[in-house]
Amino acid sequence: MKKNTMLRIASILLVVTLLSTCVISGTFAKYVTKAEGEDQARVAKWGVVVSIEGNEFADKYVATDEAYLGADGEYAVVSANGDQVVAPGTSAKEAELAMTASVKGTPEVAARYTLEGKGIKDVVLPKGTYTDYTHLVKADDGTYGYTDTFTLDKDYAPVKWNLVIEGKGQTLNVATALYDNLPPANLAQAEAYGLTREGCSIFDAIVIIQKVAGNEGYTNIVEAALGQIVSGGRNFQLEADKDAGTFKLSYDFDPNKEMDFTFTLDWNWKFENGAEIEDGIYEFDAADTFLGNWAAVKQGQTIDGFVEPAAPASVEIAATLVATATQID
Amino acid sequence: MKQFDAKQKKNKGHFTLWLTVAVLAALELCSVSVLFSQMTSYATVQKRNYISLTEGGPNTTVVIGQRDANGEITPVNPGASKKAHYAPKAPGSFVRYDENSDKVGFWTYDENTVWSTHTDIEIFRYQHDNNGDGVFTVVSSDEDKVFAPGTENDYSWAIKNTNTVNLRYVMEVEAYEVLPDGIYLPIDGRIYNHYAGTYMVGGPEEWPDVLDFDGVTEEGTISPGCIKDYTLQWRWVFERGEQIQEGLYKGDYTEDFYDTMLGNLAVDDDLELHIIIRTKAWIDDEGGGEPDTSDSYNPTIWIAVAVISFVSLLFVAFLALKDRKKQSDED
Repeated sequence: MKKNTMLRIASILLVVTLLSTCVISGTFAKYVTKAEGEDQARVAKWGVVVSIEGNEFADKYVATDEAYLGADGEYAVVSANGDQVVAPGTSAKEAELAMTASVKGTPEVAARYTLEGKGIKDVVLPKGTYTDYTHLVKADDGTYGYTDTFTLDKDYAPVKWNLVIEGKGQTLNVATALYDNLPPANLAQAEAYGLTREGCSIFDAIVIIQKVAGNEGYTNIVEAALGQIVSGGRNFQLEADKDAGTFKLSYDFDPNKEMDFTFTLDWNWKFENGAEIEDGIYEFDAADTFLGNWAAVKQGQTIDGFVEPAAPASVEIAATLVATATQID
Repeated sequence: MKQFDAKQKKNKGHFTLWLTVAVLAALELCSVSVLFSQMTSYATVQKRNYISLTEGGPNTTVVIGQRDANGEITPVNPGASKKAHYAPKAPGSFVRYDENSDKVGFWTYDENTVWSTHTDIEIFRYQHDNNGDGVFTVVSSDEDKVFAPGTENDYSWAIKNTNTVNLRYVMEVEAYEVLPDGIYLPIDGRIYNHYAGTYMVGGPEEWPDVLDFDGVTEEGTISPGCIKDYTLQWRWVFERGEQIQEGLYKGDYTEDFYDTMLGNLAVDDDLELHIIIRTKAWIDDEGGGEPDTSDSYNPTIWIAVAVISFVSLLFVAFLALKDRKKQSDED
């Protein structure tokens, strides 16, 4: 019995010794505390594509009078030398012309879309008195000549521009939006500066913008109308400089808002401009005719007694559009 | 004679058995004494007065301090240290600590957490308010953090010796980009050591490329209770290079085209920047470099102990069997 007890004790001691050996070897390892902090990031996405397409003017235009069939077929307005021209009764829409500025993208940064008009020229006959070439007058000596005159009470710019914005399958006509939403007093003011339902001349638009751009009523109306077409935008701004012949509109987008819309610049020169004075004769027919004669004189034709008007009169029309999308800091 | 010989042999067997037991007991006493003498050197500082936020267990996280109205961390365990030099979070917020990350009494931490072996830190952000006006002008569209022209950020962290002995430490920074060939990221950066009052990378007016962070190392000794804190800054300047033309394209800078290209590339590819900060520390009882973490004792000795114990066991078993056989023969 004694020996068995001894054996048991010996066995237990052996096992304990072996276990202790294992534990001890672990305790002699030194402790090292390690820590690691890591972070990573990537470049935020941009991917905004801005484009401008189209040619605003042409060198010939189809007649709107379907009964007309001239030497050049259906074209009622044809440039003599290939220059692009405008004339009463022509328009970008009817000629299937239009300059479109498109933007598309969903950047991860706030962005500002800007559309600038530069190098703007407009067909303008300043207020004043001019020879009336629509009325051939017989003089006392029996000869005929253009001796009558007409007077313009304010500058006459016959080509009316309009901006149409398309997005989300909807269309916003800026002139229509202003007519539909401006209070009567403000609308009357805008009309006094040349606004019509078809738009206004660039010249008049700059004047309107300059006079009323600080008036939040106009910008709020346009921004509200834009909001129905272009979601995620805000802070619509208008600037204009009549002397420099520039305008700029801008619209801001928050990060991750889809920019997908198109501006279309439309223009037209109404065939019958102003109030009807007599049957078939309209208020500004004389002004349109004078401008046409001036254009002919500029091309080398001689018209006896023609006096060229003073600046800022112009028979040239031009506009350069620049569209940009810029990250907002 | 035969009986006397048998009794002699029996006495001799008992003696052998006692000897074996004595040897084994002595060996066990040696093992236990060595074991406890080594354990006391590495016992962690006793933690008192912590408020446990979890049940406890392998991933226990406890509160080590609370932030006051001035942004300073007031340790729950008094006897800590200096003010932390980073942007304060909301007063009353807690700084959390994972007990399992610390064996030596060395913390690496920021305003949110004490780091573990792998910690996600906030060098970059998911959205940026570039002008500080509460309007986010850069926002990630997914779970990735992003940067863009005009974005920047500061990240501060600290190391602290919570032990009662000096610690040696090494801190290393790694920075790398994941980009298509021929592309670089126009991101600048610098790292400031508040404790030393010097820049580890860059300078007061100097913002080198952020890849200059890569390989930056600091080694040293940190005394008990000491805190050393650092701030890493990065930025992507909004308008870089020379201005093209005043007035015509106002604000256009020559590098805008490159930045725009990067933004367009980012639509289909991830152009990434990674920054990793590693720290390690150990008890400075050798006055030298990082210790060998393996057992420093000669394993031959311990193998010999194990062999001797095993042989002794066999010998004891042999004696026992022999005696039993003799007894049965005598019976």
